[in-house]
Amino acid sequence: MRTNASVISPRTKGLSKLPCPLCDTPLNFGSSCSRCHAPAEVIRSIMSREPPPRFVGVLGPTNVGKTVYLGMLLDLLSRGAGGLHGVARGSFSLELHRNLILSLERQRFPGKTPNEPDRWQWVHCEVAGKKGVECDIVTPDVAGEVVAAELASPKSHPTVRALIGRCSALIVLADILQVVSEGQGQELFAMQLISYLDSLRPSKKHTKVGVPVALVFTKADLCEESIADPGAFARANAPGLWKLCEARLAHYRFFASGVAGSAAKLIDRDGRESLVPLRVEPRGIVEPLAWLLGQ
Amino acid sequence: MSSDLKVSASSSSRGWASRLFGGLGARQPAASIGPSATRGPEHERRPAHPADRNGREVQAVTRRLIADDRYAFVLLNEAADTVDDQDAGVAWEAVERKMALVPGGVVPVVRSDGSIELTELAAFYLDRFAVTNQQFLRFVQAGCYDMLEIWPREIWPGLLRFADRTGRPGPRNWENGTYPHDRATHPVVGISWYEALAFARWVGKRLPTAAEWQKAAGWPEHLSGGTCSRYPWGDLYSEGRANLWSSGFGRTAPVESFRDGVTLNGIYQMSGNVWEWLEDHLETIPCKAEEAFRAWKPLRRIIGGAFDTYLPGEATNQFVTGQPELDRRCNIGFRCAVSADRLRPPPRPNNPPTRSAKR
Repeated sequence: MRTNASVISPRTKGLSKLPCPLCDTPLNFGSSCSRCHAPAEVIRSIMSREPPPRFVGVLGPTNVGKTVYLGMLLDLLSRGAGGLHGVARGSFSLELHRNLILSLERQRFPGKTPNEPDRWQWVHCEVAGKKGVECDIVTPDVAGEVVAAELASPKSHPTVRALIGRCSALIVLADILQVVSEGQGQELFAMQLISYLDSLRPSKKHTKVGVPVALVFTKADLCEESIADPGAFARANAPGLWKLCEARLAHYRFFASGVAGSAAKLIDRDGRESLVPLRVEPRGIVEPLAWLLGQ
Repeated sequence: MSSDLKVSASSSSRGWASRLFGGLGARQPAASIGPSATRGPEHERRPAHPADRNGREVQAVTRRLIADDRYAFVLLNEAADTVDDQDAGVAWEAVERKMALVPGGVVPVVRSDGSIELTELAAFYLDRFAVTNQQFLRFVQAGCYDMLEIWPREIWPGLLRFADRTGRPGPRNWENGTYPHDRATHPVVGISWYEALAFARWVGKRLPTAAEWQKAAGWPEHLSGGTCSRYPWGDLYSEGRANLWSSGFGRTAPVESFRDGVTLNGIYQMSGNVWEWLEDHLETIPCKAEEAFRAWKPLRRIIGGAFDTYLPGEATNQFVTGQPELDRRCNIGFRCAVSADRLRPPPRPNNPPTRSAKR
C-alpha cells in the first residue's frame, strides 16, 4: 500500500487551510470539519493516501442494517473474501468492526447509529483485488433518518450531500422483509436516492448517471425462500425502482445479502422489540463491492 | 451450576417400530419394509399370510432391513423373539460399523438459556456419519412421504410442501426425485425437522437430544476437567478439522471427509459441514432477566455448525441456536440415535452367533 510522504508533511501535520477531502470546506488546525463533521483522524487518514481514496457510499433507510453491513464487510475484507482483501485504516474503522463482531458473538446486533453526524463512525479501508487493483474505500456510517431528511429537503445535511456528491460508487441498501411485506417504503427511499444522485450531476449531457450503483436487499436470510436472482426479485417486487434504474443508471446491479443465518426477537420490559441473530452466516456482502470496483 | 440431577427422558416413540417385526412374528399386520413397497397408506398393511411366519421370510425381511440401513429394527427388544441370533449378529455388525456407543453418565449440559444442568444420560448409539443423500433416496423411493404413520399428525396437511425443485417428494435441492449426481455421499440437506424425524422413525431410530450431542461430541468429560470439550477433538479450534467458512470449502463435503475432526470413538463431523437437527425445541437463547425471547415460528435446535458458519465458536458442542422446524435450508442435515436399552444385548465375543432355538 502506498503512502504519499510529501503529503504527510505539512498537510497532515497542520491540516490548516486545506480543504476537507469530503466537502471542500477549509479546515482548521487539527480539528474536525466544521461543515460535514468528518473527524480529524479520518481527514488525516484520507489525506495521507496517494492516489486519493475513492469514496464509496453505503446508504439506506433506518434499520436497514447499514452498520452490520459495513462491519461485516470490514471483517470479510480483513480475512480475504470474494477475491478482495482489505486492511482497515485507523482506530475509527476498527471500532466499528470490533463493535459488530463483539455484538454478533453475543447473538446481538449493534445499537442504532446516532443521528448526530459528529457521532457517526467512519470507515477507511485499503482494498486490493486479485489483479492487484488497489483502492481505498471511505464512508461514514450514516443514520438513515438523516439521509431521508436530506433527500426530502436538499442541502439540509451537508455530510450526506457531500458524500453522495463525492462518491465514485454507491451501495444502496433495502430491507427485503419490508419490500416483501410492508409496502413501498424501501423502494421509494431507493428511488428518491437515485433521483437525488441524478440531480447532483453537473452536466445533463449524458442521458444516464455514470456512477455505478449496487442495490442490495439486506436480511435475505430472513426470507423463507432464497433469492436466486435478485434482479428478477426486484423486477417482481420493486418494479418502480427497477424501472427507474433502467431509465437513469448506466451501471447498476441488484444483490441479496444477509449476515445472520436465522433471527428471532427479544422483547424488553417496556415492550420494545429488537431483532437478534441466532448465528452468523454472511452472504452477498463482498459481491456488491467487487462488482463496483470492476466498473 | 444446578445441583439438581435431571434424568433425561427418551424421546423415541416406542411401539411404532416394533409393529414391523410384530407383524411377521405374530398377529399384527406388517408395515412396508423397503423401497419396493407400494406407496400409499392404504397399501401399507397386508393381511399376514401363514407362510410369512416361517424362518425364511423373517430372514429375508431381516436382510432387507439391514441392506436398507434399517438394522435397528432387527435388534429391538420387541423383535428378540422373532429374530434369531445369527441375523441379530449381522445387524450388530452393521451397528458397530455405522454407529458409535456413547456411554451413559452424568453430564453438565448447557441449556438453551445458557445455564448448566447436571443431567443423567443413559447409554445410546449415535450414527457415525450424517445421513447421506444416498440413504435418504431409499426413504424417498420407499414412498415414505405418503406413509402417514411415520409423520406427526400436525404435519399431515403440510406434507405436500415437502417437494423438490420439480415438485416431487424429496429434499428441496433435489430434482426429479433424486439428488445431484455428484452428491451421493454428501449429507442430505434441504430437509425440514419433520423430514429428519420421519426418516429416523423409518429406520427405527430417533433424533438425538442436545444433551446427547454434548455428551457424544465432548466425551470423555474427565479429559476436559469434568465438562464436555468444546469441539470433538478438544477445546481449541483447529482449522482443517472441520468444514467451516474459514476452511474455504464453501459447500458440503462427503460425510467421511475431515477425518482429523473425528471423536475418540469414531463419530465424524460433529463440528462443521452441516448443522444437524436435534430433538429439542429452542425456546430461548441466553438473555438478560428483563428480556423475553420470541420467535416468529416454532424453532428446533440445530448444532455443530456448517460449511458457511463464520464464527468457529458457533460450531462448538454447547452453542445454542435454532431454525424454524419447517425450514429446508441448504446447510442443515441430521443424523440419528437409538437408546442402548432398546436393543437386545450384542452377542458375546466368545460365543459366535448360531441359529436360535427360539423359533
